[in-house]
Amino acid sequence: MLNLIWSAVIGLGILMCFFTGNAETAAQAFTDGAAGAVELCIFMAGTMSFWSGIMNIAEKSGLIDRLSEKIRPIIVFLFPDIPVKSMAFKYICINMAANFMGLGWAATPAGLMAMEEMNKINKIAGTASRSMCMLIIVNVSSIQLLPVNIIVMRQKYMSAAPFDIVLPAIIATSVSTITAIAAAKFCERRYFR
Amino acid sequence: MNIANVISAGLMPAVILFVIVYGVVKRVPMLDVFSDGAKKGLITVFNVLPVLIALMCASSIFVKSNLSGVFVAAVKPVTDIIKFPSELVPLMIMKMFSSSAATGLLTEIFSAFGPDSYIGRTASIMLSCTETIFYTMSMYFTSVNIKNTLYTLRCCIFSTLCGVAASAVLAYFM
Repeated sequence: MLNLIWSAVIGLGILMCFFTGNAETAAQAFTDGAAGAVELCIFMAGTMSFWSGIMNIAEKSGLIDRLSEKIRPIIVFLFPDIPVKSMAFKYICINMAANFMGLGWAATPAGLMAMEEMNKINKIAGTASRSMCMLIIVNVSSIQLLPVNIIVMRQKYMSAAPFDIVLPAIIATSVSTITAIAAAKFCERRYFR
Repeated sequence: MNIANVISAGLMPAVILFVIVYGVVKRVPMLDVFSDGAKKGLITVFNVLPVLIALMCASSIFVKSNLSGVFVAAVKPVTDIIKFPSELVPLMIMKMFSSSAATGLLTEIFSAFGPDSYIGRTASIMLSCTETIFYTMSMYFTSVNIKNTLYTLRCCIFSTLCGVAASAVLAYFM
C-alpha cells in the first residue's frame, strides 16, 4: 500500500510538472528532497542519539521500570502480545510517555527501538504484528497533552488568547486517540483470532 | 516571561535533569551507559536514512508540482457538503505528508485570518491532534522491513479524520 502511494505521488508529480512545463521544478524537487533528508538525518543523529543515551540512563537506573509500573494496565490493554518484562514493553512505555509530554525527539528513537524488539518476536516475517500496528496507530493519533509549539505560534501571530485552544485540543486529541484505538481493536479481531 | 515559553524551553531540560539526578542517586556509571545508548540511537537513525530520502523526495515533489493542489480540489466537493471550511482542506492534506509544510501553511492561515478567527482556531486544534501519517508509518515499518502493513493506514486515516472533525466542531463552540 505504501509502495503504491509513494510511486503514485512521484509519478503523478513528475507528470504534473511536464504538463505545466516545469520539468526543472521536478528535478529541483528531488535534489532538494534528498538533500533535505540527509540534513534532517544529521540533525536527528545528534538529538536522537542524545535522547537514546538519556533513555539508557533512565533504563539502567530503574526509572523506566517505575514508569512502566504506573502505566502498565494501559500498555497491557493495548499490547497484549508484549511480555511485561521485555525490552519492547519498556520502549513502548517511553514512547508513550515522551509523546504525552510532547518530547517528539525522545519518542521517535524509543518507538523505533520498540519496533525492532517487536520484530524479534514477530511470527510472520515481513508482515506487521498487531502490536506494531497498534504502536503506529496510537503514535499517528497524537497523544500530546499540551500543544506547546502551536501555542508559541499563536503568540507570535498576536493571538489575544493563545491558551484558549488547550482544552479543545486535549478533547480533540482524546477523540482521535480513542477512535484510533477502537478502530485498531476492531480490525485486530478480523485479522487475528 | 510567559508560561508557554517557559514550558517549551523548560520541559526538556527538566526531564533530562530528573533522569540524571535519578541516575546519580542509583549510582549508574553515567558516561558509559550514556554512550552505549547513544551508539544504539545513532545506528537507528542511519537505518532510517534511506526511507527518509524516499519520503522527503516524495513530499517535496508533492508540494512543488502542485499535485497537492489537485488533491485539494478533488477533496473539496466532499468537504463542502459537510460545510467544512475549504480554507483548511490544504492544511489537512499537507499534515498527512509533511509536518514542516503544514507548519508553513499554518503561518499563512494565521496571517490571513488571524489566530483567533474560527479558521485560525480550527487550524490550531487540528494541528495539535494529528500527526504526519505517511511519514510516521513508512519510517516505523521500513525500519524493520515490514511490507504487509495490514489495516494500519485505514485506522490512521480514520482517526485523523475524526480528530479533524472534532476540531471543527470544538472551535465552533469555543
